[in-house]
Amino acid sequence: MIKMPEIQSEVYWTYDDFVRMNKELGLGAVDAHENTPQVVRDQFKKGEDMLFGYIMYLTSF
Amino acid sequence: MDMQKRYADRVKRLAAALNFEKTDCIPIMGMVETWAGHNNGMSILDICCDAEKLKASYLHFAKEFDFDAIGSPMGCRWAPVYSALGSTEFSFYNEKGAPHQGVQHLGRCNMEASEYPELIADPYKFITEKLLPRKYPALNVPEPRRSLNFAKGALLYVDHIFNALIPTCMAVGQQYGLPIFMNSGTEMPLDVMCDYFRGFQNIIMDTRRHRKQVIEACEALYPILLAGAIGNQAPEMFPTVFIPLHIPTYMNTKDFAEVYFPTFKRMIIDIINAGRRPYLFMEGDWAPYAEFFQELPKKKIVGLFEYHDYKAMKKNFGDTIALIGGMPLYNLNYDSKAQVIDRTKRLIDEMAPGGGWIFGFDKSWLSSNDANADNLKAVVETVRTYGVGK
Repeated sequence: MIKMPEIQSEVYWTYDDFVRMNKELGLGAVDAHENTPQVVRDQFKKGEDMLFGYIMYLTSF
Repeated sequence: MDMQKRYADRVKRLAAALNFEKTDCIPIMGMVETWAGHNNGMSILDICCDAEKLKASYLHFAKEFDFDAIGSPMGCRWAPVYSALGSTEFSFYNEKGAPHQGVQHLGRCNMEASEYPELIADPYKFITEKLLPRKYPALNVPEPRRSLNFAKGALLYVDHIFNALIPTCMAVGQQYGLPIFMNSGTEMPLDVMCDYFRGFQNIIMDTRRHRKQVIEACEALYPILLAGAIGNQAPEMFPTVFIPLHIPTYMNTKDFAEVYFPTFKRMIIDIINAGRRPYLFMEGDWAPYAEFFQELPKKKIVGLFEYHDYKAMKKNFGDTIALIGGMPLYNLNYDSKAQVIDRTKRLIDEMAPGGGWIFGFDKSWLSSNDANADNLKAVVETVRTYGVGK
């Protein structure tokens, strides 16, 4: 049986946090959010898989 | 032409080779990487920043060369992510702004030896809280800017995956029936620590000065890197799980056995038990390590060897892993057409008997002079004719 890691990160925000923050602060990245295709938003909202993939990409490849 | 059938025929041919069965024709595979851009008149900046140019370059290759599979453009690091996060770890152009021939990884030390206990105690926390802010200056600023920068990078990463990487891989399959050889990847723990945590010089010394901690760090990082390998991918033996192996051939066999091999062996076995096939990119000369492969499952692994003595490699490894390779890029680029045709025929004569071989090349194709297109066409044509029924 493969033991998978428990991915728990309180360090960084989720996509929803990002969206909320952009709206509250009116920062420049709003455009990036609004132009993001729905499929990407849906994928991102699946949460940890994408976050994990992103962190692994930043860590190694 | 029915591209679905062409795709299926190529996968069938590759699967037969990987399973050591007889093939209708010797299959051909290459890690064409940024050379695909050069061959299409584009720089690395073009294909590492522009999804359409990346896709166009891979489509151009698929149209021009009759391969059975190519590697995914993993090596075309997505420059906008690194740019948004202020990273200079990967270099795309020189001080005058001219693009490099290939993406340059500038090796760095992002972790002190005194931090091994922290890494071992909670590797994911160490990565997110210590390593990434050091690698990416935009993540080393006060909140809320840090989280905002992180999210900007995330959007660019997602853009890369869904607008560049996946569409490129799908397009070559749909338009030219060309499969992508791998659909996920990871690295072995010690290679990750070498490449991205401690740097090459430090990790070599650490294996002597901090041996116990290095071994424990490999164990700590292992579950995270295994998850990167198999993730939520379907349990299928093709496409493969790409694993570049960097540091082993710089280690003596004693260090390899004690430090590298335990997590290496477990990673291979766990990936296979998950229903997937490891694809090892074996840099350097692996001849001294052949006996270790006897401990691995037979005929469930595929390996690309950089070392040129393929006849010896087949003898030493061929009962355990399927081999990719045979044609050094140096010869492909600098030999005459007659010479590369002759080399191709000799390789087929030597490597084809018994199966378990895919015609390939010794390295990833990065620079414009990594392959001579005319010679490459002659090689492909030779494999397609001389390699039938072998």
